[in-house]
Amino acid sequence: MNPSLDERLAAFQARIDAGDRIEASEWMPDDYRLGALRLIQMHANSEIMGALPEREWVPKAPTLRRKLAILAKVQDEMGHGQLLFRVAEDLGRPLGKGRKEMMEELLSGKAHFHNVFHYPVPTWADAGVIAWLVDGAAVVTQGSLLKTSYAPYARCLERICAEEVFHIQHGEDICLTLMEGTPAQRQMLQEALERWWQPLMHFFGPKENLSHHSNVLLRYRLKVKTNEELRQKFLSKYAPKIQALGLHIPDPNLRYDQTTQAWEYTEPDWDLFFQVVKGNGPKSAERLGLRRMSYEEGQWVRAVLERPLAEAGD
Amino acid sequence: MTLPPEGKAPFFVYEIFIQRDHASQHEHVYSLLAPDDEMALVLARENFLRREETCINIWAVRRDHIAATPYDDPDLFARTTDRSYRNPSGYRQNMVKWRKYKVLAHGGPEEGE
Repeated sequence: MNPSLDERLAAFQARIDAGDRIEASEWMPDDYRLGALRLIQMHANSEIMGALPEREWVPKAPTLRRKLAILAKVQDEMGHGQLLFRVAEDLGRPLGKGRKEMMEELLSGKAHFHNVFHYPVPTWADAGVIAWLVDGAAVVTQGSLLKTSYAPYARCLERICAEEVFHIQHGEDICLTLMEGTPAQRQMLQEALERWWQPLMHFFGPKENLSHHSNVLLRYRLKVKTNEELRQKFLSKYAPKIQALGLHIPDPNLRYDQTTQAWEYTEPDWDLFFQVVKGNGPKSAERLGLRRMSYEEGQWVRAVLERPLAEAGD
Repeated sequence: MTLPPEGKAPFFVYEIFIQRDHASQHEHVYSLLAPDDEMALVLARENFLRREETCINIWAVRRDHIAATPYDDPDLFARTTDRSYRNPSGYRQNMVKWRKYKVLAHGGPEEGE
């Protein structure tokens, strides 16, 4: 007695609605598999591309302790990428998609990564703002994704969230130290915040169309919070802290409205956001070029490790 | 239902298990790709032990060497009879009875070990 596809889809949706979770080896609808794969692949891309802006400051960090900390953060990001590509590969296996195909999609621009990693890091204060606020934004998103319906991703995120804690503290430490320093250091941090404010507001994505059927990620509880809910959470968490330090947030319209219980802000330029994410950001081409060069130069290592095809995987 | 076979891939999927100390069992901490057992153990240390976590032992097991139950068989773990006799929670009436003798029940919250 084979259930029809409609029956299987209805049963699957009922499980999701009841809060059940899905494992890699289970049957799943094609749109669930593709939705989950796209989400996790973009996260994996963002981890390995996100390592590159901070890597620029490893040779220039002001003290040995900062150098070790930023190096450790970069290693963590690459490690998170490894964990996520593994999860993505298990989802992609029935589609014939492994990490080689995913790397090719990243390098060709077909697969994307977060907007924030397409921007330059001109000063040490930028490195501090990234580690504090960009990682802070990522933790808001990742914390909510802990409740994702796709179980392997949820388990992976537990580890990632635990490891990200020191990243934010390292970023806070840099920013607190700069604010307690010279007027030039405080000015450097203020200017960095001004450069990063719009990218941070962009980070969570535009307000979505929340109609039940058009939003696969929300319908299947792959995501459980909307982009706007996450942006509001970020503002509640970080705007007061930024202001407490004595920094000025460069949005004259930013205020918390007690009646609507929501932050009001100047709507960011969404055309710019889509341009950047598609690979037209100030550093997109350069960083993808570096990723490509690293991948090509590492080919001999993969070749040495790979078993001859006749021996492997039988 | 297991994952489809990898076919002729240059790497195997290995599941990694880490034992923190002699009081702990090996704990599953995700998977990685490796061409053989030796590389799996080396890569496990690099990927999962960046922090000062204690670890005294690592197991690497090829995923295709693991036998597993399917997720979609509800009968496999079904229980049709009451098994409360197997659990402390099935003996709560002892606490009531002991009160008559002004003595505490074994295993109750007030009894220190």
